[in-house]
Amino acid sequence: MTARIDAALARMDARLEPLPELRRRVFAWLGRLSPSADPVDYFRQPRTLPILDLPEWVGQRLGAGVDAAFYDDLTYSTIAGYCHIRLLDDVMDGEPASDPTLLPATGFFHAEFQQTYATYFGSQHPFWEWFTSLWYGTVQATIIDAGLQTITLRQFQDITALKVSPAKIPIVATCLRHRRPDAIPARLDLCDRLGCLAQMTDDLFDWQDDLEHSGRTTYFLSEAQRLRNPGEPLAAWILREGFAWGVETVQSWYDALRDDAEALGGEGLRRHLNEAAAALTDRAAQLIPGYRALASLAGVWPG
Amino acid sequence: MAMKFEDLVSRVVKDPKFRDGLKADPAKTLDSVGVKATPELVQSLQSLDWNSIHKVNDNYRAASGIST
Repeated sequence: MTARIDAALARMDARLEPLPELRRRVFAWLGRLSPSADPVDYFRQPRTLPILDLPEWVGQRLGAGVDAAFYDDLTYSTIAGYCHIRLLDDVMDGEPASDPTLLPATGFFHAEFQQTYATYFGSQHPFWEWFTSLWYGTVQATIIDAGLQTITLRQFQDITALKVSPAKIPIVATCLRHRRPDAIPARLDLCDRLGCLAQMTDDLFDWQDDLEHSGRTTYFLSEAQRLRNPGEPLAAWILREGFAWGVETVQSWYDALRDDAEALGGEGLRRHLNEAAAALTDRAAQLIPGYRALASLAGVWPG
Repeated sequence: MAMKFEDLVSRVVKDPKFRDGLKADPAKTLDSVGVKATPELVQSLQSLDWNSIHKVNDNYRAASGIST
């Protein structure tokens, strides 16, 4: 995958060559997102939602032959689509790395994201129905998400399914490319479940930031509200047992998904799930003793 | 306005100077944020497993991209 990411960013660089100012600022923004300041490393980070790898894993499991150019194109398109969404989300959330003056670049990213598929699917192909409905899903998710005061598990699953809907586009493309429309529903369900894992993991580790921003509602914080003792501070429940509950919940989702992983995404997906679950366990083990120590202060804290 | 428990947790996790102050001199640090240092609270802070809290702090800094 590293070679594909390198090639995709080189392609983006070449496509931006006629627009030197935009090119400079897009790569400066990606550099700010990257842990090493190299934009390539931003997309090399292991993530809970393997949006760049998943299409090829699915394609290989469908029994399709090697189709390197197709997956190269999907990687480029997906990176462009991801940039589009990340740029908008960061500006809306007021993230430090965001740059509202870069918003015109969303036009470039969207054109690059969509144009790639025109190489493979004619204008009347059923792919475009999927493309439209999935692309609009993320818009719907943002609007619904912003209006909720508490989130149930069912709402969390429904909203997450909409949020990850752009990541389903390359999966649909892979199934249709290999003339397997029958394979689409089970693979989209897989995307939903991977999306829930990614979102819940983010919500678990970002609970403090979410709590400090009173407008942010997550499923995890909603459960904290429901499960804490009467009068107990939200943070006290999370530190005492809520964080560990959240980790166990996510691990149970990993366990359930592992049973289906081999059939849907083959060895690549199975390995990814094992590594992501192990990383979650390791990171939680670093935090839980300190959280429990802090929780012990809640009973003697004044007020 | 009194410091809420959530605010205490946030300061301990995100502000190493505040954390170290609570560890070294709980009464003085609590006083600096307007919190009454009851004997129970001071004793709890003195007996806290600070090494485990350091790991929480390290994790936060790593996740936030803050260099040590």
